[in-house]
Amino acid sequence: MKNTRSMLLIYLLLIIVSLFMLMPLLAMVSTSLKYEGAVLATPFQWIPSPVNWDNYFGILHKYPIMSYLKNSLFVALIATTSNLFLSSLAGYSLAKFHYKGKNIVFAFIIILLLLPGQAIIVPLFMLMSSLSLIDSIVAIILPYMTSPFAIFLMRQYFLSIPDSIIEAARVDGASELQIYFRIILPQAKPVLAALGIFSFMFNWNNFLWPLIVLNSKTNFTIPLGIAMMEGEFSTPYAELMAAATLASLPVLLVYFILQNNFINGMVLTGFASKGGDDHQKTH
Amino acid sequence: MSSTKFHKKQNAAGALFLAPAVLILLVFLAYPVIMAFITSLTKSDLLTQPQWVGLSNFLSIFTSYDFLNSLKVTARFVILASIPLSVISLALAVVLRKPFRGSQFFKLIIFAPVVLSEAITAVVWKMLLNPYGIVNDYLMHWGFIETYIKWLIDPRYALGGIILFVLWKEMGYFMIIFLTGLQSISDDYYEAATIDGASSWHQFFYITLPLLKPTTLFASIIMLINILNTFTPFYVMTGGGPFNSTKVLSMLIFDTGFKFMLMGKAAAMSVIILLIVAVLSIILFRMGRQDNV
Repeated sequence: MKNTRSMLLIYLLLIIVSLFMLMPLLAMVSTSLKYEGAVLATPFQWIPSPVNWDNYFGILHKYPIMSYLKNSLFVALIATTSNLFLSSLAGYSLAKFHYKGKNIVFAFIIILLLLPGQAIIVPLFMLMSSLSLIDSIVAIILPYMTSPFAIFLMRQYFLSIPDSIIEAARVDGASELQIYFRIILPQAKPVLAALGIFSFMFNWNNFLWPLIVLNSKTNFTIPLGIAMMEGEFSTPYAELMAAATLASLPVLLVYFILQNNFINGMVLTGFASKGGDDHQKTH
Repeated sequence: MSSTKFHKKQNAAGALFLAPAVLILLVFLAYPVIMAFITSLTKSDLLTQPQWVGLSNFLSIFTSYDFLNSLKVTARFVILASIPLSVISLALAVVLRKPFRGSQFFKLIIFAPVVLSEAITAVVWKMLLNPYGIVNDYLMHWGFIETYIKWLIDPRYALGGIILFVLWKEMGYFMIIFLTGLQSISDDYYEAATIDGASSWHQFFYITLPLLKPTTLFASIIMLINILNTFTPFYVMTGGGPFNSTKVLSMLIFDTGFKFMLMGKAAAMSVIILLIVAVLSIILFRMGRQDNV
């Protein structure tokens, strides 16, 4: 009977942790439906009465939320597409070709891998300012068009693809670019999907860099827009929570549909830490 | 393989494939690193011509109260956040290692905060930690506290409030990293240990922990870089205050560079972060390698 008891204990622990994880999200949704005056009433009202839907209409009216969302979508889509393309191309090159200086470039990429983002934010800003790209969405995309981590990840993956497939395609007269698009990329679908999710979410949620570079409200991305809603009046929590809910629900919806695929994308350790040889395990 | 003309042409194409990515890394990552070092030796405000000042930025940093305070706050934050973060996420991973009824559901719930925006959820937590917010409401209701804690307003509790947020936000991420490591440990070890009558605690300390070492190393490097890089919750929830009690290095760099436009000084601080991360990473790698080789 020891087993049932320890199982019960495990369930109890997991339920407590889950409540801790869910509480802020439920409070967010519930507050978004309250009148401003009822937000900080104690005890906390989980089910608002009366329900107030006006916050949602109010924020759409008062803030350019739609252009925040549009900007975020634009940044995330362009940066992700570019990252998938450039990093897989570079990873393929590092895994399957032989040329002078390749090992030096690979070592250089490994060093950049451990670079803390903080360290370059000041000079990167100075660079963007000398390119007159301050307050432009282009400046938000440019530094994230590829990443050392993505290149490393793709290289590890491509190492496990047998050379014979490539050689066979060459014998058939395919050009190198055709081989990449028609043979290599289809092989890499699972990593590309995971890296795509990772890259999209990173750019969608990125905060510090847009905060530094963007000045005009119409250029804001959604996290920046919501964080900035704060300073303007005396913290309109109900409206803020409506905006937070509006921005979070679609993400949570996609997450609960894709489940483990989404988790693999966000963490990516399943691909990176195992190296190329046993990548089969991950799909 | 003989390097015929045919192979040379292929490899030239291969090198070309590498070029665009490397060009971007050079311009937007490597060049800024070098510029960080150079700028740290200048006085620069973006408006006037930068002036060469040698090591004086470093000298003034190391004698300034702000920077030394910031180092102290950062160290406190790294230690106080990473210990509970690693212990709780490892415990959750151990519990969820074997699938059971509902385990996937719990995994999804615990991981959910990871997919959300740090800035947006920090705004939510700012509301929860309001003196009249839900956290105090429940702590009081359950009898843990007798008067409201002024979480983000009282210098004694502000860092604690932010650590609470970081735990909530990142627990799921490290749980998954540990889970990946745990799932690579063969069940045979545990079965053999169970037959020999080893308790769950013995199994954890003599099988799980030693075999989990590579994962732990990987997790601690990522955790270290993540936590040292943490900026958003500080900016959103406390702005570095009250009384500089949450002014971590990333906040100080932001203020120095982008509020006061002291680019040289901010760059010098970045260089110091860079060196701290480099030294700590090397130490962690060494520690991880010792027993494996």
